[in-house]
Amino acid sequence: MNRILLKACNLSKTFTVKKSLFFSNRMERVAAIRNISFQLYQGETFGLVGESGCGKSTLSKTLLRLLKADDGEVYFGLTQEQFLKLESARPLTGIGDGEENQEYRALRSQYNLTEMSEKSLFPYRRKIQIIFQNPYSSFNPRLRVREILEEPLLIHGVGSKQDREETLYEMLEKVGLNRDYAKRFPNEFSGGQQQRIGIARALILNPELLIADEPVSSLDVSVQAQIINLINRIRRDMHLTVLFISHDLSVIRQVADRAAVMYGGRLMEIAPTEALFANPLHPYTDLLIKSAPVIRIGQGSDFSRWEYHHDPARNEVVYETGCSFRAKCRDAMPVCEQLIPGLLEVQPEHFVACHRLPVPTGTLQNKGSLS
Amino acid sequence: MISLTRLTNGTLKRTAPEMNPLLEIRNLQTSFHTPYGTGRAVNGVSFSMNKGEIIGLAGESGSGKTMTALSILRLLPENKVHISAEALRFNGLDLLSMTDEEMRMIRGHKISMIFQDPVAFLNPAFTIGQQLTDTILTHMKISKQEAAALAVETLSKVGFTAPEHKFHYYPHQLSGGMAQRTMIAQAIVTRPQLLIADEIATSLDATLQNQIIDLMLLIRQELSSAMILITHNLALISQMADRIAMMYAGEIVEIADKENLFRNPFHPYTIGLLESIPRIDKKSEFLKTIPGNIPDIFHYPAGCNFSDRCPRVMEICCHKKPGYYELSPGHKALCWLGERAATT
Ligand SMILES: Nc1ncnc2c1ncn2[C@@H]1O[C@H](COP(=O)(O)OP(=O)(O)O)[C@@H](O)[C@H]1O
Ligand code: SF4
Ligand code: SF4
Ligand SMILES: [Mg+2]
Repeated sequence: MNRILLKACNLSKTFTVKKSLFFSNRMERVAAIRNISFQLYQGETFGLVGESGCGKSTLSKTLLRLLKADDGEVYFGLTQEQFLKLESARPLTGIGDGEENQEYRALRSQYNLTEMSEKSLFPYRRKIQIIFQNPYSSFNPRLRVREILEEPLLIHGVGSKQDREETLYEMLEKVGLNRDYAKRFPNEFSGGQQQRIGIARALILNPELLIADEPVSSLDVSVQAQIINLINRIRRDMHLTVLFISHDLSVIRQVADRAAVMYGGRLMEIAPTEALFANPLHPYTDLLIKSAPVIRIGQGSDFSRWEYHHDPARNEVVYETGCSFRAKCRDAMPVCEQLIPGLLEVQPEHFVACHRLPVPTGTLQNKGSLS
Repeated sequence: MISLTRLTNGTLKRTAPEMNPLLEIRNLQTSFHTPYGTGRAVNGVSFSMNKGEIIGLAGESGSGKTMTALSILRLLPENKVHISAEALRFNGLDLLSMTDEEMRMIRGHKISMIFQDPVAFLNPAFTIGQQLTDTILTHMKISKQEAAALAVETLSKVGFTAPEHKFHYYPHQLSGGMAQRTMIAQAIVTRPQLLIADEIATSLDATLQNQIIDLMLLIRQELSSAMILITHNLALISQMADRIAMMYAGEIVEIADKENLFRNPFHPYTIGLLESIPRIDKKSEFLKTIPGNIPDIFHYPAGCNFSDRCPRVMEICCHKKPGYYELSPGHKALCWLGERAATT
């Protein structure tokens, strides 16, 4: 396996929302992501799939610190030695929080993206770039494409005026846009072309990690296929690592080497993509795969859907305790209401969070916990 | 046995005359007048539908799906937009000659539309219960209490648990799926005969999509409403529609019942679109695409509208518009290849 480029440990983020608009000001805390741990290997495309609102965007924003995590660590680009040092200093789970361990505290605050100063973080902002579902809303509509692409180079003080020009024309070509487009404004482009501009802007600083948050979700299928092909080609050309977020499992299958399935703010399963589809071990993954319609041209459409434990209204329930999937789960047991299942490695590189699975001999990716 | 009939441009000959179509559209044209010229958004759309039938209107964004729906409902600004049709009849009534007042009574009462972005259409300052009750009161002569009771009943029908409690929710307290359900509740509360839904489940994940699909099918069963479902997601529509009309550049390029469309797609655009859908059952190194972009409404190519992107383009396609060919009863395509199929 390649070197670890990014490692997230026990990331959590809670939002505080006003419960009612006018009559009371009761504040309610909504956990958007809870205890998320995973790692990205250099050069891979890692897919993250889950329904809208399950916390995918929140997770991607906490990685970049566009949102401040309440808890947890994010490490990026550490050498193997640095990782070893950190891991050997890390106190064993259950024996304090590491508050007592001076060396661990020091290493952690030096490397952890979620606690370092804005100044130390600055170089990482160049190495990690993000593209969104609606690129247009992230463009300043008064800027021309040329200025939109030049901006990140200016912020990070890259090159002379001439170098920057060259870089941006090169980038336009790389994403399949005409050089002449540099003169135009973003609103003159179609959705697919705007996403190409978004990709060009993200890649112009030559990042190591590209986070793509639903980059094709609002595009038509034919354009969607063009953008997926583009991302696939560019990531090979530029040796990028990609975190590809989508609510559509078919898209994930086309792009990802490994994939994680998220539900209710927690990771349910992580596996190499082909293993995930061939052998889904979590009931939610299984449900997602079986719910997806398949169209085979010449054979008609196939809509044999899995009849699952069906109660549409139960979607609304957000659980603070137990397994977050249990309202929809065909296999739920009493223990699922009390105990949060930990994410366990049940087969090599295949992690699952479900009480139904036999106790594995593998390692613990993150611990389950009471309540 | 395939019967091929050459039909005159723009009009569809009906295979079996429908007795009383709920909606009959013949040669609908919608154009925008701007200082730069006239843009033709809908270019001779014709179809009719029966009571309780579900038609899927599919195609890329910009192909004229939403414009077709808004034209039927006359929801476009009349000073900027010109709508014409040989026939635009709902229940035999001519929608084009109705007064604005008559049209308002049809909209929301007999025909309801569910829009793409539910949150944008809910008023953030009022609870969903208040908004539902208001809709009911505009269309029904019943007391406030009765309207509120009906609102609660409708919320429960679209799948809210504890509807009396959710009645007091504000739009910002709803999840995406709940907001979509609220919009559906708004649209069905008056028991319309025709529901038009624009991209209602596209942004939801597969399990939530299936719940919305089940809900729509349940509504048809209970209210016998006919539906026009607009989407660019063919996989989604395949689970709901009886018939599918593929739109491209303001025209219906192929129409067939669902099974036929997926089994024997004919129009090169339909085939291209079906092939570019990422499949969940297999990984492809490279996804098929349709090169190029849909023409803008001011500049159509001469001849066939798809000729500049079509992998099977022929000489005639570039200067002469194709007409509709009937490939089998009810299966029609707007493509010169239809003629070739006729002679072989
Ligand atoms: N700024 C915010 N304030 C309050 N709640 C938020 C905010 N951003 C996201 N949430 C909530 O956090 C949860 C996860 O949202 P998000 O990460 O956007 O999900 P996804 O990207 O998977 O659709 C949702 O319940 C959402 O309503
Ligand atoms: S832990 Fe229980 S409720 Fe959750 S997925 Fe497994 S069996 Fe279902
Ligand atoms: S008429 Fe010609 S260009 Fe148009 S779709 Fe048919 S084959 Fe292609
Ligand atoms: Mg999101």
